[in-house]
Amino acid sequence: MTKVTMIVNGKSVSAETEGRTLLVQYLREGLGLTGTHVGCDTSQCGACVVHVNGEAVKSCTMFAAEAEGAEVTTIEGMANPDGSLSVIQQAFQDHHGLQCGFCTPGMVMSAAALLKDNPRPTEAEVRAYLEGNICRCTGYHNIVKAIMAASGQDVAIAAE
Amino acid sequence: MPKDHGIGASSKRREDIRFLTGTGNYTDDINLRGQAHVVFVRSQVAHGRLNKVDTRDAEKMPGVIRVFTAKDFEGVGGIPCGWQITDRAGKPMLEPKHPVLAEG
Repeated sequence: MTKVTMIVNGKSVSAETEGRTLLVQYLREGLGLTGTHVGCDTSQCGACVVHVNGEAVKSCTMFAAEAEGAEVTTIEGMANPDGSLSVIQQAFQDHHGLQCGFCTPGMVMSAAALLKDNPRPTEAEVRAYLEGNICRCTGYHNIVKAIMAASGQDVAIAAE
Repeated sequence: MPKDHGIGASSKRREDIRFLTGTGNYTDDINLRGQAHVVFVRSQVAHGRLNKVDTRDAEKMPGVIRVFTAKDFEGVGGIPCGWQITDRAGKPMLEPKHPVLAEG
């Protein structure tokens, strides 16, 4: 067991981990941050996306020890400081970008990473970026709408 | 344009807030003191015949509370069909069994 320390949602945290402990296990089991979900355990579904030093990462593909000293942001750190929903989260609610909500944390984290690098993506760019996030309520259409709206663009997208 | 009030207006879902902030509390998120966990043992072959299930070794494993097999669910299960139909020849529809756990 080794102690792994990192900054999660702005707070310095540490937990005892085994070498094989995945970042997602560290977050869920070590820190109790269960907003980051494990949908597939095989790096396909994207429900576990978090930001590590500002980059979107599937936290089931990374060992906790690899994130030693890193700045990690999870869905729990996405709301505004006063607790209100961030622009992206609010857009998901406004455009019904979720049903069961299981994929939603990963969708929001991916969307945030996309908009950071590409503040005004085209619809095609949004769809291409979400390649690694699977929604089984078949909600992609409204997810794309929500992300377009969060980027301040018209939501009346062509595919409707 | 969607309506903004009255019948047909879209309404905001109240459950979205917890889903969007990572506080959904799904089954996998619940971790209580002394909580038991379940593991399903699935067939290791794609197509075969189940002759018997030997649970003796599994029962001896440390921490195992209980091993369940189809015997524990006799008389439970099945998905009744509401409207049995017949085929062209008038023969009744075949209803597959849906046991809770695999039977031999």
